Amino acid sequence: MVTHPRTPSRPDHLRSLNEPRPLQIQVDHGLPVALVINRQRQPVASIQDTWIIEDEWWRQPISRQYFAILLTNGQTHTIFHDRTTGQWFSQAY
Amino acid sequence: MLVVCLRIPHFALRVATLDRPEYDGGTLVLGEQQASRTLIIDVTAAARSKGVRPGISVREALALCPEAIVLLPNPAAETRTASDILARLQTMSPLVEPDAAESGCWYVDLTGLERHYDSPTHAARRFLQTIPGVFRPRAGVAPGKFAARVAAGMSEPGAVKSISPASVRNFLSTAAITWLPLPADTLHQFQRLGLETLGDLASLPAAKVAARFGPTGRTAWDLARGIDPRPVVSPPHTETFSETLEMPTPAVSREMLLTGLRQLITRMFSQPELRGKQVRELLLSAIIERGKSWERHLVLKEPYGAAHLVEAIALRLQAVEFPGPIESITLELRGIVREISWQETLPQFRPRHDPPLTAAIQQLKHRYGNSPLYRIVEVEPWSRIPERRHALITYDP
Repeated sequence: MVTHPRTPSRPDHLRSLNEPRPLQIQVDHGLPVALVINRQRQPVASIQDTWIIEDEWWRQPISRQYFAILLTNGQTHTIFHDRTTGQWFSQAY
Repeated sequence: MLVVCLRIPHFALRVATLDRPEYDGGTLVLGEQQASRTLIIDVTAAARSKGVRPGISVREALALCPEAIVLLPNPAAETRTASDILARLQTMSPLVEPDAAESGCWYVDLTGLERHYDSPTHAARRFLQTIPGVFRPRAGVAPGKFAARVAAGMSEPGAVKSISPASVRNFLSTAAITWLPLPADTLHQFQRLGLETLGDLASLPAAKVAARFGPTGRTAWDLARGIDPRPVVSPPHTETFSETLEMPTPAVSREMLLTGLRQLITRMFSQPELRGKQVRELLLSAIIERGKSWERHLVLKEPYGAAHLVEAIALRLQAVEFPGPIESITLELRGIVREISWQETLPQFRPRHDPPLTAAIQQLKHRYGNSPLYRIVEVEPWSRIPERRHALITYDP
């Protein structure tokens, strides 16, 4: 982390970090079974954890179901299903 | 040197029940909000017997023990209670030291108090009476702080356990090794080597313990044998100024809080004792709606006077989330120093060239129109939504 240089923050130059990235995924009964990474199908070995985030219902509702998954090649990923749009995204939590 | 140790086990939990006496004696757990989860930080014996332990989430705790009552810590009340008890003990002895590693634990050196009390146990009982019974305090008397703490830990609520100098080694030999004031990983290493009691450690050759664990091991070996030459050192007396401001309406915005702080600081620095002075350290606490509290200890890089103190605090509170609307704020100023002046550099003595990074940014701005360098700042590090936690802002010094 860079120390604050005490220059005023400029909100017009604010950029979020860790934005969700759209994901190609194969789903079975609402659960991820394989990810498509670099056009290659990577099967899901196990779902290690899952949790739901519901927030900001008073303006633009956020409703996500996160999955911490282990692929058969040993990689771990955190992905989520946007329950308002139905899309899937990858995002470190 | 005989030492009295006064201990309030589960101090934070006991303080949290002060406002809710009906919960006293129940199956209580203390939860603390950490990032997006509330983790258990302390539990009563009743909750522990059901498998609830510090470190698990509240959800897990309630699954294990549905009747558990979850309380939130009240840091402002803890500080106030601890200073009240310290002040009361100091009226009876000048040599009182709060334990730096454990809240709710104090040591009193009995040297010189023999004429005032019939016996060390009688003295300890008098010290114990200064602490309200609702905290279930207990006391231990032994030669040395460590043995006194172990004795207090094995004592019953409201009772005193005295260990004579002759029996201290025997007493410590059966105590669990986890009493040693060492980091958890060192204690874990001891246990993996099969050392479960202080007697197990004391029976080993000192040189071998020192060779394996270094000076920490040697100190632990000494403590296990009842050798504890550490004196009781009273905290240095520091000049502090404290003021409280009641907010007209519970403050929900940072701007409102800073306005209140500005008012408070102006009021404090208008006192004759603080006129022309600066502060290096402060304790900011807030009373939140529904009896909650919040507290933050801030050490400033350089002393600030009234003019710049609010900005310095605001900078440090940028990423702080208060647990609710603020009803009142208390500011305690410590580390009061005389005003420090800085000699500005004369124009002709300034470096001819900007520092390399600044010069590089200037060149990039000329080339691309704006600075393409960014720095990471915490925006809402507590947010459950990952993309809200950090942001990049233009680095433009």
